[in-house]
Amino acid sequence: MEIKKSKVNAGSVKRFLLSYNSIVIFLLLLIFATFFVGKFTKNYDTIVVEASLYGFIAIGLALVMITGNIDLSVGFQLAAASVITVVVLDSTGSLPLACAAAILSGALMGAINGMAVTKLGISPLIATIATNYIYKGFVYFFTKDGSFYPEGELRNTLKESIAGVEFFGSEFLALTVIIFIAALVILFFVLRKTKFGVSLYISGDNAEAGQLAGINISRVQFWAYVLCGICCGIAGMFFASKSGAAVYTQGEGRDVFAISACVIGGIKMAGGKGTMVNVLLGILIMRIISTGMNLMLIPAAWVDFVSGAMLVGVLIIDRFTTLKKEN
Amino acid sequence: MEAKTFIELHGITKVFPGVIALSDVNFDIREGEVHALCGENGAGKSTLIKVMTGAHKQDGGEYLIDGTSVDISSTNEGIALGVSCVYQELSIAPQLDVAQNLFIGNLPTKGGLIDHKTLYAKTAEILAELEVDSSITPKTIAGDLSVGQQQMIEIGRALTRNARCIIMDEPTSSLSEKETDTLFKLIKKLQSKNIAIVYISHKLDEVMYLADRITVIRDGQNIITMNKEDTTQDELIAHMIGRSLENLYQKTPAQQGDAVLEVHNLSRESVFSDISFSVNKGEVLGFFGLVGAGRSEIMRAVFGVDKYNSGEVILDGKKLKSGNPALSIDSGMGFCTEDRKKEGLMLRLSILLNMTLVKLPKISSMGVINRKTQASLASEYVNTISIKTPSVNQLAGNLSGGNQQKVVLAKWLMTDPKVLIVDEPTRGIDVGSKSEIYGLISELAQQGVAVIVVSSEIEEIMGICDRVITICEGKLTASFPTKGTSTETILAAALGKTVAGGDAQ
Amino acid sequence: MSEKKSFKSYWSKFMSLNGSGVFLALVAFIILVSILAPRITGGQFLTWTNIIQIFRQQTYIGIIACGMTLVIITGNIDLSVGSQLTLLTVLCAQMSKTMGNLAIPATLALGFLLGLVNGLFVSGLKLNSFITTLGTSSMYGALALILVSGHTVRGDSALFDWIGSGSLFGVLPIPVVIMLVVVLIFAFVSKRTIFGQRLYAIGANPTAARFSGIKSGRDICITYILCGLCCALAAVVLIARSVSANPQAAAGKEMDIILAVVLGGTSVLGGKGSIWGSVIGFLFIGFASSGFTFLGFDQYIQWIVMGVILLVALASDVFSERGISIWKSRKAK
Repeated sequence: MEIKKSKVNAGSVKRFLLSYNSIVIFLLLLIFATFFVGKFTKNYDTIVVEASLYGFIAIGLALVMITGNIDLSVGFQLAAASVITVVVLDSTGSLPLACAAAILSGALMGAINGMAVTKLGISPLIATIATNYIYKGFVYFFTKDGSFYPEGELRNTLKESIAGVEFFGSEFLALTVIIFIAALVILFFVLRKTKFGVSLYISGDNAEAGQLAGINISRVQFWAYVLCGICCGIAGMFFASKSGAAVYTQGEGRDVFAISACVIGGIKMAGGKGTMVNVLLGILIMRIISTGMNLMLIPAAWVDFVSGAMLVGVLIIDRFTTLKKEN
Repeated sequence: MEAKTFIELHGITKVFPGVIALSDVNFDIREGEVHALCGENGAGKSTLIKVMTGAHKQDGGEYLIDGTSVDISSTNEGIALGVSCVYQELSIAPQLDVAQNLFIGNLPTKGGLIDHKTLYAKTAEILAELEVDSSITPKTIAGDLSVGQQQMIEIGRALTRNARCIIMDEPTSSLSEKETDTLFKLIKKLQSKNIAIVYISHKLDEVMYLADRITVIRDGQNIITMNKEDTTQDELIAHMIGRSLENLYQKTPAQQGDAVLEVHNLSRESVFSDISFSVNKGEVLGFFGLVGAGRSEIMRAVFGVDKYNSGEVILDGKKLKSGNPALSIDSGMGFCTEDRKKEGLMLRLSILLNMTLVKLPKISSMGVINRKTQASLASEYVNTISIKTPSVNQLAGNLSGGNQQKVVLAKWLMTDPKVLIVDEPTRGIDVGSKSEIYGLISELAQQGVAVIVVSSEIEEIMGICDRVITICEGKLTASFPTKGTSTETILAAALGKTVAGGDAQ
Repeated sequence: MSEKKSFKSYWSKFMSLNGSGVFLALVAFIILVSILAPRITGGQFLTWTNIIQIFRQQTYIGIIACGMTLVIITGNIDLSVGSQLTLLTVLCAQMSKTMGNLAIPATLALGFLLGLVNGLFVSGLKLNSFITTLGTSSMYGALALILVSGHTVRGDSALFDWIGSGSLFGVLPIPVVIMLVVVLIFAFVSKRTIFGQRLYAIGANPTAARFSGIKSGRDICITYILCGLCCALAAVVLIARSVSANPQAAAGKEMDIILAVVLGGTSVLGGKGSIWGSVIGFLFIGFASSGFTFLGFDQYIQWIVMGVILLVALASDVFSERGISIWKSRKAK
């Protein structure tokens, strides 16, 4: 009896490690950085805040990737949402209105992506490259190469609110962090506890089986894009507040960050697998590398190099673990 | 007292572009009976199933459930009325667990959220009812299960929907003998719970064992419905074929030469073992066995696409390599696969390229294709084996099944093979093309090509082969000349029974 | 009667070619800009100088699009071409300082190497090409930045001067000639050689290709190498044109290149596409960006219009295929 119990435990530990193998990378990095990188321990708060700030697009993208699709336009969805934040704030002076507009615009952009993929039937890769051009054009119209900010006092209002809000004077309790964690928890339960969540997995795992069981797969994929857009909208709102402006470069390279975070965390390109825990691990890994290397005064380009190498490395590890499983 | 009738189909007609798939078909299912549906490939069985499940809407006729007329236009509506289907191609989401697969599209909820407690409890109940292996828990990942176990999950899925009738389409095609036994027990159990089973199978012994009643359909029409007690396998076969074999199978005896392909002790772990045989020039050798016996797997290994653990394949004195189909092709082997669309054709490419793909090195110099030769070669074959197409630039996907098969055949004929393997050459093909393909095979043999025909249709083997080898569970059981051997003997050998007169190897 | 019929058959044949719709859009666009430009900005659009200028500026996209087309035909993708181009321009400029003209073959060799790395990952280890090349893209781009620590490097070679300012017959600039040669070679290779036709087979159905004795791994690896070589050639042309190499100049260009290829009718699902289609896609991008400038439009309009055109072009592709099947099933009823 005793033996049987430990056997079950060993099995579930193994299963846990198989689905969250990125936790090993995360712990190793964390331990290494804590002991060998000077001042790293003093920067936990920066990592948490930045992980939250950058994390929104990654969790949004994760939903889309679970359905087996991809979204290359997350970066400029974010930038476009921050433009909307600034525009609405500038013209109405109302902060709540600006926030609502940012989130709505995100939902709208997500809906456009979703329509392009599910209704027009264009391959998700190309469809979102195309919509990325559209969102990029929209952002450029306002920001040109630089940034676009509200006039006068409003800029300070923007900076001090939203991303500037901290509870009990602790950065760990910044509004950004709280909302990010809330989003993570909600989406974790949506994926686990709702029919919609399970349908996302079915869409990526075996869409045909879902269709035969009466699930409207197109609709599920469409809503995944909309949720992804909403996440980008929230991220855009926070970024606008963080820098007090909508900045063109906020859109660039974000898609690579989000895809890297998802894949390194354990979300599969083919879909059907992964939870919010995977995404969180991926985001934290990316931020630890970036902050750690920064503190070690290693040039920023090396961060890109390492995350690129890590992306390929994770694929290779994946390849060999699945090969083993097949054998 | 006779059981209550659950489903009645009256005069069902279904028309597809250019084909009348079903014409005036009657079919009825009583509660708690196993009703077998028999017929050759393309006879209309799958269309009839699709009408029953709601995947297709009939163009004419009436669909009655419990005596009242119903109008089903989606599988969902069919499921709601108690008609569920276990598909030939498994519809399992491999990365989800057993519970989620059982209740796919139908998860129990409480206040809008999935009720995991009920889900896992109900799953455990159903697993107990299915009497599956105790190692399977509700949280086992479905992809880790064997095919047979996955099939059990699919049947369980029907139970979660309170199905009153479960349609099983070739359920044993990829099951082991043990798994088949488990399935049969389960069917009897379901029957005792008053659930009706529509059982579709090519394996007539299974049909004879399980069925209460048997309906035969042929060419989209129903031929007869009989009680099992009133019929025999032979009678069934006669009804299914319904025409004299001689007309369909064209066979001119060919002069046989020396052995051209020799296979010695070929084994692949847990798939097939110790396979030895040889084929002569001009011989048509049949490979007969039930679906899942390992025939196709043996052929894939002989051809080189699958690796083998031990043994050797010698073609015209040259030893071939495991896992190297290019070498086999260069040495003179061709392989028309069982699944045309997945393994044989590039549906989105032209017939021209599809036909000449393997031949390309021979019709080019320094890697540059001679397009005139390519085009004339293709048109020549289009004419000689009469492929019906407006032009060679037509996409392969636009052709009918028979013409697609001819394109695949042409691809290999062009390479002037010494040995040609054809795996289920006439699956899903109309009778006209069938006869043409048989003619082609016979002609090839006369030209001295050794042809290996793999088939699960015994009549086909009897009609066109000189010799037949039977396979059962990955082992070669016997070898007979087709002339003078009875169908029953071959069938028995394929079922693994020792038969007198068989040249057991 | 018969004349009408033959026109119709030519028309339907033309429309079935890859990128024919985009070609028509291109012609319409050129006519529109030629008429409108003099009225809006007073510029003459369709002049020889301007056309040559467009070609000169965009040749590098055209060259890389050729390599990319082959990669996409096999059903894969290379997202690292922008970074490969950046890294190779930087390396080429630096090498030219010490090696002179020899920098050009050296760049080609390095391009071969970068492509080989991608190819080995994708075909050897069978990794997902999208994520793999996204990863190598980060790596190559980072290496470029590290090598020059963010500065601009000047190239130095007599050959660069010749490529940059020379012309064939005094009319065709050398970069354009290079691009034309690449296009002709790739078009020939893809349509007329066994290798090219195998690529289609691999993209259309990898399993059936294996059953036909095709070793797809090797062929896929070669397409990545060719793509790397194209990047190297493009790098040489780029340096010759602007003399200097900026580590950020080509960032994000992979999107423009994929756009050109896909606009030309090549399917990312593999098995369908052509070099000539990509040339049309490339021309469209070139003429559009120049045309918008002539109309006095800003960069942003160009991007938005590009995005919309891409969506419309692909949606119509999907609908024309789907439309036929709907029409067929209706007719049957």
